[in-house]
Amino acid sequence: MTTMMTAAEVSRGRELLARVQRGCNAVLLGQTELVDLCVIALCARGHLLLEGLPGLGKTELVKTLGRLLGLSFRRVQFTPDLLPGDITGGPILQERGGERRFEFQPGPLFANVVLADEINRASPKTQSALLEAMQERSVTVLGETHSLPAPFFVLATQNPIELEGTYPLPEAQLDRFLFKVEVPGVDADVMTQILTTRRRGRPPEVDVALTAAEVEEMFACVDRVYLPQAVANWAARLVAATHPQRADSPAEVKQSVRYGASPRAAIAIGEAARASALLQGRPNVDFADVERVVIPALAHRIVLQHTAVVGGASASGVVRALLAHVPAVANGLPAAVR
Amino acid sequence: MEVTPAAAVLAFVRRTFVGAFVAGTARAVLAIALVAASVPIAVRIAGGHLAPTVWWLLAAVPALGHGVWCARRERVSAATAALHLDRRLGLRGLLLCANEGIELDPAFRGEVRDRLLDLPAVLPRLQWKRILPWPLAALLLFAGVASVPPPAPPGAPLHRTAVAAELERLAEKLRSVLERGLVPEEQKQDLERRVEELKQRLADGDVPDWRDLDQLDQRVDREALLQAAAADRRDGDPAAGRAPTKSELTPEKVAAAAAALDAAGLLDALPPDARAMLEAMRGEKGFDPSALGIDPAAMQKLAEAMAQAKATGRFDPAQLDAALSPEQLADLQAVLDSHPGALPGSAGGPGVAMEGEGSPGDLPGRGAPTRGPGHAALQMTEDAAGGAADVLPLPPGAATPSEWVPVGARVAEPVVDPARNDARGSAGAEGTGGASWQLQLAPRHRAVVRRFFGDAAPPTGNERTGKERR
Repeated sequence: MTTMMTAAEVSRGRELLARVQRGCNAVLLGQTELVDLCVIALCARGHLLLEGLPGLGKTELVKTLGRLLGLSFRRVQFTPDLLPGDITGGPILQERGGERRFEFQPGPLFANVVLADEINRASPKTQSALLEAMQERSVTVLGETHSLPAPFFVLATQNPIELEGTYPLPEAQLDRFLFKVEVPGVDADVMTQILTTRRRGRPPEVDVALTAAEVEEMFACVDRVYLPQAVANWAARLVAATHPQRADSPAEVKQSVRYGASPRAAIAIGEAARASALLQGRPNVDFADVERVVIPALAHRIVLQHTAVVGGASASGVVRALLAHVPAVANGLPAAVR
Repeated sequence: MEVTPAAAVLAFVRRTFVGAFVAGTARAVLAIALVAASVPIAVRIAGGHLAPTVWWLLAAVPALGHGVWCARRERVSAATAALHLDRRLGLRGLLLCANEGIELDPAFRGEVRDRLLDLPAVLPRLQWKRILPWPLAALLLFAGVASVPPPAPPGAPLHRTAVAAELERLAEKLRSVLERGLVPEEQKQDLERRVEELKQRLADGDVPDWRDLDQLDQRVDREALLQAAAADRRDGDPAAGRAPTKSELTPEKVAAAAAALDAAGLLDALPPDARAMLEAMRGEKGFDPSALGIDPAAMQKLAEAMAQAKATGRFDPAQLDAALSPEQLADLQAVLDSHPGALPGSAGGPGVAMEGEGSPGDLPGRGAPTRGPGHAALQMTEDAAGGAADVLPLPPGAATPSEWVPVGARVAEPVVDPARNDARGSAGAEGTGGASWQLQLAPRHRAVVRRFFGDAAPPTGNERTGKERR
């Protein structure tokens, strides 16, 4: 018989997560939901794409995450003239002991946390160089494959405005991101708090919250969170319903969606829901966890039709329609009972 | 009492099974009750009646079967039940894990146990207000239809009413006859007893047949006729200056005449049917007048037969004088005198029957084609008065068959409206022949054919040209 996490394990995992959560909230004021999603993505060992207007703290959040986890952190500012070798690294002719030879010089990707700032400004060639790194967690240069350090996270940001001279991420690369989170603005109270507590907007210094061992322990806790069959079935039905070809898809999907989500989306939902459950202090995933992560996990994996986009439809709106259409309980009770 | 997750899930499954069974049974009861209520209604409309029987309880079998079928079809699995129960208890997936065989930590197990204490409150509840109203209404409808008493025999009230009215009419008629007196006491008592007997039967629910009423009516009519005859005799003005009528012919006279003929041995001279009639009258004390008096027509026929026998010379006067006493001769003569047309030397001449005898005003048919000797009881009423086409209302209270209600009778000429058969090619179609020959002839030949048959076409200037063209 499978044994579920003990209460002590759950408590320990939640405490580790809470440390990261508290550190991020101390830096980024008024963005608790955004912080939670970022922590969930990190615990699920997924890559994160943040989208928002300039000045909302995207870069600061990623930098804080890197510092809190005590991991190596690199930042790459993506520009149109950035080349793949600039991020992956490449062979450099070195002279050692009178002998010259090419040695691989790792690029900025060789870090635990990589901030790909304004990723949509890089050329597709450079963007595609991230594909192998994000999925395989390795880099191949001149026929040699170099493993990236574990854990490896890509935290990318992109600006939804100033789209001239940008290269929208291809669907294949979008699919590599666990979450795509839209960074919301903050209200006046938060801004007042920022003005009164921070000089020149400088965030407080944060210390390392987790050691490398604790990070591994946290990941182990997340892995032990149990995903019940019924919850997994709901997540799978949600993903399946994103395909407009299916007869049981909701009308919004049939009208607006061109291509549905891949099975990688279901995997992402499951992993993120486990992290969400642990963040809530539970040893198992519940439907609420799936509901919490399904929009950031699914929205960027759905390709809308052009007419729907012109008509004002959004991927998140389609996912909300899915949540309303696909019931958590597949088989209802007989009509005679309540 | 501690409830395990498995027991809670089983209780949930059982409750949903029962709910589905009850709902399915209720739906079947609704359908069956509606059908069962409509069948007696249809049978009643068709004129029949379905009496409730114990066998109708067999309709519960398909209802229960449908309930079982619905319960099996809508049965929820243990996983589904655990899912519903987990959400109802707010266990956030812990019950799902326990149902999937995951061993819970004691702390989480205690949480599950505590929440399961609320199990009775979260088990599914049957929606009686949604399940029961319509089936109950259908059952009530069915009960109402089944409790409707069987219909009365068709037409019985009308039949009974008509018989009662007719019986009352006969009683009144009898009273009026009896008020004049002259009815023998024995006949009077018999008629009154008969009327009372029929009334009693009617009161007991045994509606008398029309045959009984008709017989009673005939007897009353007979008594009325006999009463009228007796009244004429009592007035002491029998046939003075006028021809005897059949009202003067009494059964006693005919019986006395028959006894005289029997005494003279002349019964063989009568026709066979008259002889048979007399033999039927014969009793221990001679011929019984009452047996003949029942049927005035038979009495009349006997008298005619005797008169006819004498007129044709079958009776030897010498034999009659030798065999009969003067009283018997008088009796025989009285009968023979009642039909003078049959006697030789009477007004009609030997062998010639009198036809339409009687006063012109009393006996219609005078001058009409012969209807045989004697007084024909022919009443030419509306026809003779020219009212043949009028509506003839039936007399009130007339005994009529119960299946129909007469509102009147009308005698009228049939409406004949022959339609001419003008169909194409038929005998009545116009121009059939003309069309035929015109279709067979070329246009240039028609003028020649018309000239041949005398229907010459007006001469035209181009006839010659046409001939040349031919």
